[in-house]
Amino acid sequence: MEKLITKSENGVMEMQRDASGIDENEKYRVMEEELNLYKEKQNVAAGKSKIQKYNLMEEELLRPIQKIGRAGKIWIGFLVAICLCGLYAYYLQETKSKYETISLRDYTMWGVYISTFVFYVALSLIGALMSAILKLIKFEWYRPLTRIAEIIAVASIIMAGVCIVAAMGRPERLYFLFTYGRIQSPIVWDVIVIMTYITASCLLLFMPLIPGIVICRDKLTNKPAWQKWMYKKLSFGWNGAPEQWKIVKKSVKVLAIMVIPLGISIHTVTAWLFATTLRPEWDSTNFGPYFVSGAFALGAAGMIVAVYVFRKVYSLEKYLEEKHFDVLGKMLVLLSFCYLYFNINEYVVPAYKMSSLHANHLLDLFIGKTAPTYWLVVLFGIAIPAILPMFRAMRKPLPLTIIAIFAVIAAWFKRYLIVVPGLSHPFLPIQDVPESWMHYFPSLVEMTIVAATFAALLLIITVFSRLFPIISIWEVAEGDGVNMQKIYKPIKPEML
Amino acid sequence: MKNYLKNKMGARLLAVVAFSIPMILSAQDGEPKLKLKIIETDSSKTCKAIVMIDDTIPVKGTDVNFYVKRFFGLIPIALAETTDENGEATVSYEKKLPGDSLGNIILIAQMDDDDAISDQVIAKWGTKAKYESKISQRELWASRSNAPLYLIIISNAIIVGIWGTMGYILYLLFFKMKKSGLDYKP
Repeated sequence: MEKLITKSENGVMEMQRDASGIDENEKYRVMEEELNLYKEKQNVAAGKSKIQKYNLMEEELLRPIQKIGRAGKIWIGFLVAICLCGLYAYYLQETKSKYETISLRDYTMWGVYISTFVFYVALSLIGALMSAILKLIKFEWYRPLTRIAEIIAVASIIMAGVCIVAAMGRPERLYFLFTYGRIQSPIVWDVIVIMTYITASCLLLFMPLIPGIVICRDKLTNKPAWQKWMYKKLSFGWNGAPEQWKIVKKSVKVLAIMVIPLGISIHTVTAWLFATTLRPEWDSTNFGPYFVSGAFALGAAGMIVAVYVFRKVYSLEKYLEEKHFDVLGKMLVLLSFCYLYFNINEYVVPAYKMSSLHANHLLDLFIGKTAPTYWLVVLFGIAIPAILPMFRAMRKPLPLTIIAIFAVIAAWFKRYLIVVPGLSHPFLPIQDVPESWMHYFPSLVEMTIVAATFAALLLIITVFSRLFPIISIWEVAEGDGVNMQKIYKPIKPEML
Repeated sequence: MKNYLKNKMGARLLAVVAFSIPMILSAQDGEPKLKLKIIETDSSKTCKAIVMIDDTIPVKGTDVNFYVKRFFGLIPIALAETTDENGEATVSYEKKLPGDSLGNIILIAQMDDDDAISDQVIAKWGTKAKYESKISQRELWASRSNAPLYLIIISNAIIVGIWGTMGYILYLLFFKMKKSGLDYKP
C-alpha cells in the first residue's frame, strides 16, 4: 500500500511539472484531481489500518502485565526462595568465621564471587551493544529488542555490585573506599565506573519507557491502586506534548552515545583490575580488548536466550520474529570470531614462548587438571557459537537458543578459569602453607550466594516484565510508520 | 754456688722459654684486626688500613680492599692493596661520589682473604645529595592526597562531563517534563 501511495505521489509531482509546461490543460487538471482523491482515500485506509495494527500491538504487549498466571507466580516464588537462601548464606558468612564458611584463602582470594562479578559486568554490555550501537547505526530490527537488552544490562550491573560486596566481606568497608580510596587505584576506577554505568543504564532504560508507562497508566485501569499510583508518578506528567517527545528522544540519543564508551570502560577497567595485579597469567596488555570482545559475545548469546524465553512465555512471536534470531545468530558468529582472535593472542602466543613464568599455568590449562573445563569452554564458548550459526538451519530459534545457552554457561566458566587458576599460580612457588591454601573449590555458602545473585537477576527481569511492557510499544510503532504524536490523545491536566 | 747459679739461670731460662713458646704460638694463632683511618689534608684524601694482631704485631704482605658503601653494594676504590712491614696499606681517595644529605659516605676496608675482617669509617667526602621522598611527591604510588595532577584533572573532567550530562537529563525529567505536559494545549 505504501508503495502504491509513493507511486501515486510521484505521478502527481510529474504531472504537476508537465501541467506547468502546458497552459491550463483541462485533461491534466481532471486527472490531477482524481489522483489527489485517490491518494487521500489510500491515506485514510492506511492510517486506519496502522491504527488498528497499533491497537492490537498495544493489547498484545500489555497482556503479560494484565495478569500473572499460576506458572508465573510459581516462578517468582521459586526465585524469591533462592534469594532468601542466599541472604541466609550471606548472614552465615558475615557472622561466623570466614575460614569455615568460605574457601577463599591468601592465594585464591578471589573465587566464584569475582568470577561471577566479571560475568555480570560482561553481560551488562548487552545494553551498550543492543540498545545503543544498533540504535545509533539505525538497524531497524533493534526496535523490539532494545528494552530486553536494557533491563538485562541494569539487572546484571546491579548484581555485579552485589558480588563485589559479597567478595569483600564486612560490607561496611565499602564506605572506606570513598573515604580512603586513591584515584590512582584501579579498584576506585571500578567503583566509579560501575556507579556511573548503573545510573546511565537506568536512565537509558527509563527515558524511553515513559511513553510505555503512560500507556500502562491510561489502559491498565484494573490494576491495584499502588500500581496505578506508580504508573502515574513515573509518567512524569506525560501528556503527549511535542516538547515531552523531544525530551525523551534527545535524552535517549545522548544516553545511547554515552553508554558505549561507558560500557567499554567498565569492562576494560575490570580487565585492568586483573592486568595490574601481580600474577603471570594476568600480565597481559591484551586483557582490555580480550574482556570486551568476550563480553560482546556473551551479550549476543544472552540476548538470544532472553528473546527466546520472552517470545515463548509471553507469546510474542509476532514481534520477536525468526528474522531476529537470524541476525542475532550472524552477530554471534562475528563476535565469537572476534573473541577467538583475542583468545589466540592471550593463550597461543604465550604458549609458543612457554616462558617459565607462564608454563605452569598454561600446561595446567592445556593438559593439566583444569584441561577438561578449559577445552569444554573453548568448544562451547568459542568454537560452536562461531561455526554452527553460520548455517541457516542453526539460526532458527530453537537450535540457536541451545547454542546460546551453552555459550552463556561456558562464558561463566571462562571467567572462573581466568580468576581461579590465575590466582593459584603466583610468581613464587606456593610452599609451607596449609593445605587449604593450595587449592580452591567454592564452599556451599559461596555457591548459595552466587545462585541467589542469579535468582535476583532473573527476578528483577521477571518483575520488570510483569510491570512494564517488555517491548517498547512506541519504538516498534514508529518503526512501522505510526506517528505516535498523532496517536496519543492528551488527558486533562488535572489527571496528570 | 756456681752450680746453683748455673741451675738458677738455667731454671729461669727454662721458665722464660717455657712461657714464651705458648705465648708466641698463641700470638701466631690470634686473629688479625683491621683498622681504617682517614687522613685529609688540603690537597689529598687518603685511606689507611692497618692490619695488626693483638694491636701489636703488624701483618705484612696481606691484601686489603677499599670500598665505598652504596644502597645495594660496594663501589671499589682500590683492590688488593698489599700491607707493608708496618701492616699498613694506603690508598688515595679521588672519587666524587654522592653522599647523604650532609655529604657523608661510608668507607670500608676489608681483608681480601676474609671479608669479615673489616672496618668502616664515615667521611664527609661525598657530595651533598638531595633525597626526596617518592611518597611525598605527586606520584602514582603516592598517598591519596598526593595523586598526580594530570590524573586528578583527567578523571574529574570525565566524571564531571558524564555526570553533568546525566544531571542535565535528570533536570529535564524532573523539572521540564511535567511542566511541558501541563502547559500543553492540543
